[in-house]
Amino acid sequence: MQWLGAFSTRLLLIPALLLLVGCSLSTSSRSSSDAFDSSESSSRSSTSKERQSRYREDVRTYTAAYVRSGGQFDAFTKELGELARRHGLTNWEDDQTTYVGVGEGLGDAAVGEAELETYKTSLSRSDPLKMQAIQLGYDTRQ
Amino acid sequence: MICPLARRAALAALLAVLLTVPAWASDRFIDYLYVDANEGGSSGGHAGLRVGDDVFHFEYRRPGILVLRRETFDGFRREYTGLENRTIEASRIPVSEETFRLVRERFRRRHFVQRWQLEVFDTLRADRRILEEMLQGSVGLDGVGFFDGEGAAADPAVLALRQRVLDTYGASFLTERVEALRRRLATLDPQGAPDHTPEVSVDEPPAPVYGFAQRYRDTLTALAALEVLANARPLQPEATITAAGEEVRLREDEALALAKLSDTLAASLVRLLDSRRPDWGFPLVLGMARLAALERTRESGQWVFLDAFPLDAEVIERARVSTRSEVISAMLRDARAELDVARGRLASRLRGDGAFGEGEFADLEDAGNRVAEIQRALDEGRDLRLPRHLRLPARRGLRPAVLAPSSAALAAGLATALEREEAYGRALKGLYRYHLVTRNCVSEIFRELDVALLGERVGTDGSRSFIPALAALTVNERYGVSEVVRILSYRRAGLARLYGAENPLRVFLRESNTITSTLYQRNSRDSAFLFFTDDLVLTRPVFGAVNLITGMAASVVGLVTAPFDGGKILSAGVRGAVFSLPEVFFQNIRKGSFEYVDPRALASSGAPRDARSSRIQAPGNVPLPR
Repeated sequence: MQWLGAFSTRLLLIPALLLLVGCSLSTSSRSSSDAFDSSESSSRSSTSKERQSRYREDVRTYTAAYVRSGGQFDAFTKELGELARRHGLTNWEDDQTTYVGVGEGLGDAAVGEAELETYKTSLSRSDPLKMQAIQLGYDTRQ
Repeated sequence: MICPLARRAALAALLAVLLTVPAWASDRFIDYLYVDANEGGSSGGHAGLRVGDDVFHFEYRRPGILVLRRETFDGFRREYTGLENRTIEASRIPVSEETFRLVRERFRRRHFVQRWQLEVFDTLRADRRILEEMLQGSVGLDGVGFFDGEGAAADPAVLALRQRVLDTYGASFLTERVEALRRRLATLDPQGAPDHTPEVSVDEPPAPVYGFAQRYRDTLTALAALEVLANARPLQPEATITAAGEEVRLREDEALALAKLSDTLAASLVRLLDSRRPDWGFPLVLGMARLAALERTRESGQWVFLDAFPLDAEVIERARVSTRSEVISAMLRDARAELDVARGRLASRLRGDGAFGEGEFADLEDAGNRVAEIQRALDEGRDLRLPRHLRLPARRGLRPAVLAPSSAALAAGLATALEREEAYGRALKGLYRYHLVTRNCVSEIFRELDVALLGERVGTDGSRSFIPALAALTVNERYGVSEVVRILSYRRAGLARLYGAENPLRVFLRESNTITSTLYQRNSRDSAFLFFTDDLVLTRPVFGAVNLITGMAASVVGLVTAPFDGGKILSAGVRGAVFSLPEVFFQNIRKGSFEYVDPRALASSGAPRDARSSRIQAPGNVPLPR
């Protein structure tokens, strides 16, 4: 009975749907007049581990895209800063997750050993722990 | 004409074969989510795709583009079944591991590319605004507003940090850094900046560009941060938030750990000053503000946080705070629980590697802001800023645009920036333009599935797949759906519980209307209506007629009150009448919505927990016949 009710409601909805807006308005559209607002609220329900994993994934995807598209190195680090800020981090250089993510991105972009070493040295400023984290990320994507 | 149609049909059939495997042969699932309609947000329903714990869904955003959002399933459910009070139907499609991976990667990439493009647009817009500000003689800088100007007494925490910096890098370090930054400012040229190409694609993210305006602002922020450090400027009192009472009192173990927390934060700031990243100014100024807030925490014995509420935060006026006591108590309970969790995480991080865990600290700051704000509103009778979408604290402050290029150069740069912004905006609008029939939240899901599995966009079959409600039927027919689960809206899940626990007639009489309902409290965003009709079919036209009269009556009242309330009642009345009309013809769109929902009540309403456990049937959910 419940199923029949739902089905008939759907059929009756067709003419109305053609006249009305389909799909959800974004929350930002409802609350702000800003066109193309890029903000996306992160879910509070996610655990710190989940958010860390999402941050690493974003760093990985971004790094791989940067390696493929090219660009200035300081633009790369500037963008890393913006990306980290969206995840609630400002001092990303002190966060090992960043380096693992960069290493994974370099792995995804299939850079060679020489290029890997260049990134390791310039990004970590030869800090052995950070270099190790980049290598670790790189190795996991091989 | 026949060939493309035949090809499309063949590819669609191939897709159906590729996508699905028998349920017994797979422990991976993709859920097609149909969200039923409600007024305001989406009168035509909504659709999403759950892949693992990710939910991907396309939302309409001004000025008429479709934006792919990615959320956790809990976040999606909280928004749609909770706040928007809409029922979700999840159609579970068993898939192979390979299909699961392909689909997830495709949607993740598409989401990443578009988000990045929107951020490029934000950057271009920010570039233009910075240039406009520079022409006015000052620039707004994030974080600089945390600190007082000249003449105030030095902050002890910042003073100690300055000494640590000088001990580490030498007595002339700050002066040399300032000189280097000033030299950099003087050489920046608005015409020499690289440009974002206006070509955009759904598959490729734009290359990063770091232009003049961003460089100027970042360098000026670094200069301002060094000025705060060199003069040990004190925190502005209004930049912080705290509350009296037990909620945010410093515990004994926290008091002991506070010195270590401050020490690790200071150490990370000293390292930051030696960084080569070009945008270290904001992290430094934010870190110093946090350090100063920690010092205030130590002095007062109560947690003091940087205020993270945006200037345009939605507010419940003080007069309404007491009438919303149930909602506000639930918000406080929720915030307290999160504060406890955040305190535990921060303590365990400090015990672990001993480093300053910025993520853990930001969680504490976030939860602390919410508890303090609610507690203050209750204790002191203040307006309550709604704690949604809190971001990193970044109190802006103005600084003179020193060493800026000439006005003529800035004006030329502004004209170029405006052109770039408009060109990029046009390109994005062209790429992601929304269309009710050919390009909406449903059609885009199917298109992306095509790309993930076939490598190209096939297109929908054009018959009914563009309507979210009917597309769910197509999915059920075509993709070997193994099970359909209904996740009830917040109110309907509550009703189900009440019907099971109390006299059904009494529950019906009490909960069927907005006046005596214990589950629903009027949300100012809702239209004017009296009866709920989403859970009733037979009485719908009668209740709808009463709702129609209610809406019309509210409109008449609203006409009188419009000069005083800005037309709020009039708008609610007109919308009330409009959304009652379908009810007279057995159709329901409006369901009412909530300002806040208790996450625990949502959790108990249940859902299939993840894509690897399809057979788990949570209480309150209704499996549908197929």
